[in-house]
Amino acid sequence: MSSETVAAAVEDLPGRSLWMDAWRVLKRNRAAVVSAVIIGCMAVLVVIGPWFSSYRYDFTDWSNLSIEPSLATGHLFGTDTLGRDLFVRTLYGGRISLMVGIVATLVSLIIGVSYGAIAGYLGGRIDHLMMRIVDILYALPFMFLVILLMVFFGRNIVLIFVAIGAINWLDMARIVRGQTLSLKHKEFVEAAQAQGVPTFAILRRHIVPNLLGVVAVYVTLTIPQVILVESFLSFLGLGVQEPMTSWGALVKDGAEELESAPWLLIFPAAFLAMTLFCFNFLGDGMRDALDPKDR
Amino acid sequence: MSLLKVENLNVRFDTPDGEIHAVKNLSFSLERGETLGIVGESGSGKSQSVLSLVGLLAANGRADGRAELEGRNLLQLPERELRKIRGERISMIFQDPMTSLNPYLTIADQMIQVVREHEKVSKQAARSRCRDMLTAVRIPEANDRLDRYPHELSGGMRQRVMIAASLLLNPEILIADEPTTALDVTVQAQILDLMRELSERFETSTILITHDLGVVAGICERLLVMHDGELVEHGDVRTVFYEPQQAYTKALLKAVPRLDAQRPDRLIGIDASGAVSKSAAAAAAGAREMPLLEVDGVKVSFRIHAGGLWGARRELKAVDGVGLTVAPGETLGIVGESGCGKSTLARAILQLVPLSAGSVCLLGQSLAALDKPALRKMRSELQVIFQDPLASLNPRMTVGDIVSEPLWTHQPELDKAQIRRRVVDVLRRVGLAGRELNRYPHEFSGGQCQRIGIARALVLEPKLIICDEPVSALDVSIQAQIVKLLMDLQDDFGLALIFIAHDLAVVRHISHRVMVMYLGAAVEIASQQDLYDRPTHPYTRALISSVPIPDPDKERRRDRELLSGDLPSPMDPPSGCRFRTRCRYARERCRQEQPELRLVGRSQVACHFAEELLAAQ
Amino acid sequence: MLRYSLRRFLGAIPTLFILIAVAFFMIRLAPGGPFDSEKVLLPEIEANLRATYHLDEPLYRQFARYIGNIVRGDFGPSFQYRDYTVTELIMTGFPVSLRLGGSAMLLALLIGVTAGSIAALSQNTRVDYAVMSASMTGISIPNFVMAPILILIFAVYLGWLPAGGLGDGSLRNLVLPVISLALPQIAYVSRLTRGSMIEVLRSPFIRTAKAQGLPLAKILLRHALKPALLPVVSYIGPATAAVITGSVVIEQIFGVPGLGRFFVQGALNRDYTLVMGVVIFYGVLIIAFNFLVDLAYAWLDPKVKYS
Repeated sequence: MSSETVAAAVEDLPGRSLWMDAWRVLKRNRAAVVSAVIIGCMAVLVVIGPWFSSYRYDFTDWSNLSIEPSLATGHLFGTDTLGRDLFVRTLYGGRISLMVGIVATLVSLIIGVSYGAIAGYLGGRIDHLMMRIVDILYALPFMFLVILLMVFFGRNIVLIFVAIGAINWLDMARIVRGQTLSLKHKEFVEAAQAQGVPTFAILRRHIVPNLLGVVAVYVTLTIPQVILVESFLSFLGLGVQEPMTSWGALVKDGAEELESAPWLLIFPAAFLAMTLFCFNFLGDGMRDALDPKDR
Repeated sequence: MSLLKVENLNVRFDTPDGEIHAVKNLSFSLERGETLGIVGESGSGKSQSVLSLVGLLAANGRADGRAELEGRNLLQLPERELRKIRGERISMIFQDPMTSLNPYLTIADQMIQVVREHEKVSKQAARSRCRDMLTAVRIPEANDRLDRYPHELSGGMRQRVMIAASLLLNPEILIADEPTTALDVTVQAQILDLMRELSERFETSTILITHDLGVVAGICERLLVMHDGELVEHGDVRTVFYEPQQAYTKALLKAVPRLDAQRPDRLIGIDASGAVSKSAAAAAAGAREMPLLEVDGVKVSFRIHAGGLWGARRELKAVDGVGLTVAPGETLGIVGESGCGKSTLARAILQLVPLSAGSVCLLGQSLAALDKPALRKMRSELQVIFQDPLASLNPRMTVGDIVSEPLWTHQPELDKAQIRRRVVDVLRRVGLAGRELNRYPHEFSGGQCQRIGIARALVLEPKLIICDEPVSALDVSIQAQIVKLLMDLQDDFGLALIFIAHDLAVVRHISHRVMVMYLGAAVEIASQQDLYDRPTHPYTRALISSVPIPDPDKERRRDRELLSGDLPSPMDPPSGCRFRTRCRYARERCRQEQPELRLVGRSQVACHFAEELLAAQ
Repeated sequence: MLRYSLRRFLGAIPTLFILIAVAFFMIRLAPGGPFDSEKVLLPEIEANLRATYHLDEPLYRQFARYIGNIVRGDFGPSFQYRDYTVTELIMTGFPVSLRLGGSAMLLALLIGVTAGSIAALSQNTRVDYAVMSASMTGISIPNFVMAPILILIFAVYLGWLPAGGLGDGSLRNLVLPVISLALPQIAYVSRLTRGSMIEVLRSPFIRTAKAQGLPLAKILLRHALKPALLPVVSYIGPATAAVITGSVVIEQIFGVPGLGRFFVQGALNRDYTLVMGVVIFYGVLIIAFNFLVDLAYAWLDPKVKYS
């Protein structure tokens, strides 16, 4: 049978890519799956949840100041000292916290991956210099500088995104650079170079697809870190401005009323902790799936 | 009565994918004072069977059966008892001495601990015992070496330390699991020689596990052959080698390339239809035409950063002035031990690393002088196959894409159907079915991946393929298949090959001419017959005599020229002739002047005393 | 070894310089000045005050003058607490923060390493899962969430411990703040130790030690511990930074008069010199610590020590 006939008549066997393998391992990890589901629900909840409540997040219910959670009044999570419904505010805060998490992570992703990939692929002196810069910046107490930024330049939400993103890009850059370096020396990249494949095509076909795994894991683990930083800033009173709120700010308010109205702390804290928990578990699960070293 | 008697040993592992039966009903015995060899390919269960004897299986492994040592069944002893046996009665040494020694402790720390764990002696007494043992394994300046860390010693020395540590308590049985596989051939010869001497001196019985039949032929009295967890054949070493009973054993022996076998003569290949093979035609033509590849005076140096932007820079001369030619249709083999620069040379020819000096001319064109697009075009005539089959294929690309990539780069005018046809065609040429286009590399075995790599190199029908250790990572039987494949393809396509390897027997099998490298320079270039049967350069002679031949009688009667000392560091090569520190013929002139490669008899040799050496043969 | 130290040391200087420069210029360029919150001042008096604090000079001059002063240990007077110099304020606040942070770090290392080792040794058993879940919780619950909850439980409901303040400086007052500060670090260190220990225990040289008949305890202590702890040693640097950062919030919650509180107050009140002083002080601390940790690591790892 000539090759033509073979090629035309017989279908090729379907393949099983590494992504599919990783997916299967991930599915077996129950903690990760549950976490992913919870995150999904959380995302949906914060987006559409407020529509189902009859209260707005900044509406002051004068007749119901600081009351306990009850179904009767329609305040599922109770109200705060200003009579604002905690349920809606928690969900609203969730929007902000998650949004900061995603956007700031994106910022650090873009900066970190570009920086790391360039340093790793170019190698030599340029790589050396770029990594020295990273080393120098690494030792800076970033948090303090961010606090200063927030204090002195106002609590602009865009600034928050950029500032927090700027803290985390260093880790991402280091990881991506390390991975790029080891990829560069892999034999399949050398084979492509020996064939005369143009540099851009090598990056596109060989380097980037093999970076995605590492990047995906890191993004999933960076999001909770970023949310944490934002909460931290909010707790210090340096986060988003009133009447916008985030989980961190709600926790701060709640902490002040701890003895009289503990629910003000417990609900937002629970949401915050649960989200961080799930992202961390998911990130761990992804790391196990995409980087198989037996645990 | 046997020292150790194993009956119906079964080893099983529990994995998420089910139970793996690694060792199936193995029975054998070990007599006092004998050296027993266990041979098999990967997955044969040879390592797992001995690990189970001392209770060192992984946590998910279970062993059952009988392993009787002095009336006690080792497999049923409690951990406490086993611990006493380990080191005192049964010792083990492992394959890779770099990772088998604790890099964070000094040699003294590691060895003294072993002594004091089993016997009540003072620290000084223990230390002097260790020192004596280091001397027994021929480590010079033993006292000084004791206080060093493993990474300060060479590979050969580290393995000697392992051997010394294992003999400290004078065990009755020494189990050596691939003890020389990670070592260079010349070092291997030294270590095997040492092991022979020590087992006599200390009256130790040895179980030697290896995949290398040559090693077994030289040092073992009896032999077990294992395949897929089962004992296939066993007996006296001469019987197994000269009168194998089982099909697997026969096939294994046939597949092993022998150092003393001539290259199967394919130059005069006339196939059934009477047509002369392409490579014969090409080679004949090539003798008249200009060479396909001409490499002249190539030097490749690397700057090693000793540390940071402000650290010192040292120069590593990986390749220091090498020249060679390759005619169309011929195979040039390049051999050498670690650090000789053969892989760097390959990359220099491929223009993957920059040359510090010299030129590379393909089809008469100097590659360095070409601009980028012209160089790219030239690359379609020059392809490469690498050592690690899985690492040379992008795990995220399908097989179809991997083999299509060269076509995308060099023949973009082809449409999808044409490309597909070419890819299926070349996959079938290399022995695959042609239906693998949508599958991924990790779904295939090592041998199959290497075929895919060959397909990729072949799809553009280049004139020359550089093979950088293409079979080193494969089992012996698969190795034989791939070598045969390459030779067949060479015939069919008139390919020239540069075959780089450290396994001299394989190189002899496939090459027409062979080049020997040492520390970045070529020391001898000759036809395979001249090089192997009448080596001239002292290093070549030592190298050839170090390679074990899978033939017990021959192997034991050979004259060995063992090298002394260790390989010098490539960063700090000896002045003059680089080989002089280990050469038994070295004179004053060797220290001052580096010898050039020149024609002596029919070979090119880089030695001041080549004529005398040749005459003395 | 000496050359290595010298190189690391020199490498730290640009970091310090950048830190000071960034903080300095940021503060100066920010809108609002140190006197904004005061009652309205007469123009002449304001001009006078500005001159005294050299605020009328061009920025680069102020910067140079500032560096000169720092090198002599003079951080200048606090703009807000006019009777004190910044150095004095730092000296009051730092010992408190040091006790807090130091105890937290110590706790983190001791408990973290122990828990992580136990988890590694009982890999994939219930004990392992328990330790890992606990540490995951520790990482996921921010310390400023944990602190109020701890206060709620131990101070309000159970009444065992005081809810805040340093009081007479006795141990009781330190318990809750130190625990709140330490928890995330305990979690981190235990995960790190576990992962590292598991990897080390799988190394070939551990197999060699077993084959030589050494008992598990000796293998752990003599062979495994040192390499397993190397990543933890490396982590001490970032851990210190994290503890210092965390202390800012913890001191706020528990009303502890440490350096962190000064920092936040100073930031809100535009007290330039105080804020600068604290930032530089902490910066130097972190950089110095990182440097020491680097040295320790190099000393422990023979491959670096003897190369």
